[in-house]
Amino acid sequence: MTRKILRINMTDLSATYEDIPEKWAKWAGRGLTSAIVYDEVDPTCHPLGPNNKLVIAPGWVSGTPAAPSSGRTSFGGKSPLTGTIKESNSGGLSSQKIARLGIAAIILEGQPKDGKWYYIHIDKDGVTFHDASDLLGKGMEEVDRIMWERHPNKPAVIGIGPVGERLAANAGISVNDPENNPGRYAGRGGLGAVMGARHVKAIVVDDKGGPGVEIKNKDLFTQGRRKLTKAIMAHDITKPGGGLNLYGTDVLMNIINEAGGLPTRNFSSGYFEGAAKISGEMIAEMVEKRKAGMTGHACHPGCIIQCSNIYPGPDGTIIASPIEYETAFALGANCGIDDLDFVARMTKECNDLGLDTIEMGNTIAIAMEAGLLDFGDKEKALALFDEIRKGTPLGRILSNGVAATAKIFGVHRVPVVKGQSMPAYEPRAIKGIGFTYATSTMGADHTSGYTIAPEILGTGQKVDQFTYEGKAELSLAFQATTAFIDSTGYCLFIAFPILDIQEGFEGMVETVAGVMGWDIGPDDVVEIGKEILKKERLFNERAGFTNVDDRLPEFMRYEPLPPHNVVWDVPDEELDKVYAWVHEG
Amino acid sequence: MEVVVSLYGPIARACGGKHLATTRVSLPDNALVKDLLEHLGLSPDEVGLVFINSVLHDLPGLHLSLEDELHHGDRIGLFAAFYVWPYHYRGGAVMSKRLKEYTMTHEYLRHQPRTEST
Repeated sequence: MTRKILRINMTDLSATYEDIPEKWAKWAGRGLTSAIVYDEVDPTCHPLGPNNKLVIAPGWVSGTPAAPSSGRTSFGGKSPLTGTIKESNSGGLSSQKIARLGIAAIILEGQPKDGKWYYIHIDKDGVTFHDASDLLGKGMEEVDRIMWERHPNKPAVIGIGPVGERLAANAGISVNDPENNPGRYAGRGGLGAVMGARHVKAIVVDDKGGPGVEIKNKDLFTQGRRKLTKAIMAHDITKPGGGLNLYGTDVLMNIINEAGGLPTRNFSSGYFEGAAKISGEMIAEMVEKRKAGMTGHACHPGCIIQCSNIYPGPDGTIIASPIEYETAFALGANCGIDDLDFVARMTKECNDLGLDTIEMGNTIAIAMEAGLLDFGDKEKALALFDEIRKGTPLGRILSNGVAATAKIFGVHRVPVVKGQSMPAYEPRAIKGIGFTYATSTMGADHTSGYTIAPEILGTGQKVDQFTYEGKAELSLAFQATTAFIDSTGYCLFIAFPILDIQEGFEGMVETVAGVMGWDIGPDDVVEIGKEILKKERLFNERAGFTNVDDRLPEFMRYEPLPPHNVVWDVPDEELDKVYAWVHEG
Repeated sequence: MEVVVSLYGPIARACGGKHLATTRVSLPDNALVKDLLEHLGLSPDEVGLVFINSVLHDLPGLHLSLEDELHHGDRIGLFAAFYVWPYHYRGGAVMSKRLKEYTMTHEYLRHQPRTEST
C-alpha cells in the first residue's frame, strides 16, 4: 500500500490523490514538508501571495499502533515571519488521523478566484469543500465546538483564528487536543497566514475506516518500540512522576532562572524575581489547591510522557490548556508579569485568536519597552488582546510579531534572528543555544538543536565548554538529529531519554526502519538529518539569506546581561563553521 | 551568617512547602553546602541541581557541591534529585570552579543515572 500525496487546489477547488513520487518516498514529517517546499515553492515568492503552499505531514511512525508519543504533525511552507523555509510542529489529533487515512502529506495550494472562504473535510471517502462564511471572525474555541457538532467521530480540527484570516505574520495553526480544546499549536513562523492566504479556515480530518499505516517489518518495529518505551519510562525527565509529567515543560522555569538564563523584561536580565510564581511547580500547586484542572495531561492519544496541563482559575473553571514553559516565559517573565492566572488568560486569548504565544509574549515586551504600557502591567497586557480581536491598527501591528512592532515603535533592542524572536533561553548566559539560534534554518528556534548523535558522545570525545572547539560540530549534530526526529512523528521530548540511554536511541531508529522496511542504524541518523538541513539551507540561500543572517542581534554583543554580566562574544567565524559543509565537497 | 534558600520539588517539605519553598537560614560562618543540607534535614541523595548566586555548583548524582563554601547573603537553589537540566539547554552556562574542573575530565553531557528515586 503506497502512501498518498493529497493535493488540494483552492483555485479550482479540486482534490487529487497521487502515489507518493519516488523523489519524496523516503520522507515523512519535516523531511517531507521541507522536500516538497524545496521542490515546489519559489524561494523568492511572497509568503502571502498565490505561489506559497502549506504542506502538512505526519511522521514516519505516526498512526502506528502503540508507538509511544508519536502523534506529532509537521507543517511547512515559506514563513511570512522570517522569509525562510519553515517547519512548524504540533501535537493534538491531526497526525495520527492523517496518517491512518494513508496520506503522507497534504499540499494546500492556490487561492479561490471568487474570494470566498472554505473549510475542508477529509475522510476515507475523500475531500469535500464547505462554505466557511459563517465561521469568519470566530475564534478557534468556537470553531472546534462547531466542527465536532457538525461532523461525526471526533475529528482532528486544524484551523486558524481571526489573526490568520487577516494574514498576520504571527498567525499560528491550531490543532485540537483529545478534549477538543484548541491549545496545540504549529505556532512559530506565521504559517496560519499561509493557510489564510489559501482562504481555508479549517481542515477537518476523520480517519474512521481508513486503511491505517503499513509497517513493512513488524518484528523490527515491535522490538524498537519496546526499547524506546523502556527508555522513556526509565528516564528521570520522561518517566511517570518525573519532571515533565509532574510539572510540565514549565519545570524548566526555576532551573533556567536559578542559572541566570531566563530572559526577563525584553531580554534585559537573566533572572526574574517572580519566576517561581509562574513555574511548573506553581501550576501543580494551583491544580491541587483549586481541585480542578490537571497536570499530567496527554496532548495526543498514545503519549506516555503526558507533560501537558489544564489550568484552572480561582473559581475552579478552566482558563486554558496548556501553560508551557515558553508561554510562561514570554507572557510572564519577559513581560515582568508574575501572575499565573493572567498568564493563563493571555494564553487562552492566544489559543482562541490564533497566535504563537512565544512571539506574542515577546511582542508585548516590545510594547512595554516602547512605553505603551509598563513592564508588569498584567491588566493592560491582557487588554491588548481586545485590540487584536477587533482588528484595530494597533492590534494588527501586534499580531505581526516582535520585529514589526519594534520597527513601528522605534525599539532597537530586538531579540530576533531572521525575523523570529528568541525563546526562553538567554544566549548570553547559555552560549550553546546561541549557536542554534544564530544558525538554525528556522530563525531563532530552541527546538532545532535538540539532541545529539551518539557518535559525538563516543567515549573519549570531550567537548570543552570554555573554548569554541567542537561547538560547531556539536551544534550541527544536534540540528541534524533533531531534523531526523522531526520527521519521525515522535514528540521531540523523546530526545532526552534517548540521549542518555543508548538502547532507547537504537529503539527509535528501529521503529522507523521497521515501518519503512529500511536497513538503517543510529549511525545513519545525522546523515539523513543533514539531507533535510541542506535543502532548507539552499532554499534560504535562494531566498536571499547569507551568513550575515546567522548572527545574534547587535545589542547582545555590547549589553551585559545580569546577573552574570555577560555579552555574546562568539566570533562570527565559529558560527559560519556550522553550515560550511553545505558547499564543501 | 544568613542565606536565602529556595527548595524545588518534594524537598520543599523541609520548609513546609509542597512543591516550592523559600526560607532564610542562619548558619555558622564558614558553613558548607553539606551543613546547609544537614540543617534542613535533607540527605545529599535527595538533592540534585545546586545553584549559588546563579552559578551551577552540582548536577544530579555528582555530589560535588557538598564541600563548597557559603557566604552571608548567598542566594541558594536546591532541586530534588529527579530534576534534569538537559545539555541542549545548558551548554556554556556558568559553573563553579569545582564543577568546571570535573567537566574537563569526565563525561558530563549525559544525565547521570541514579540508582534509586527519592
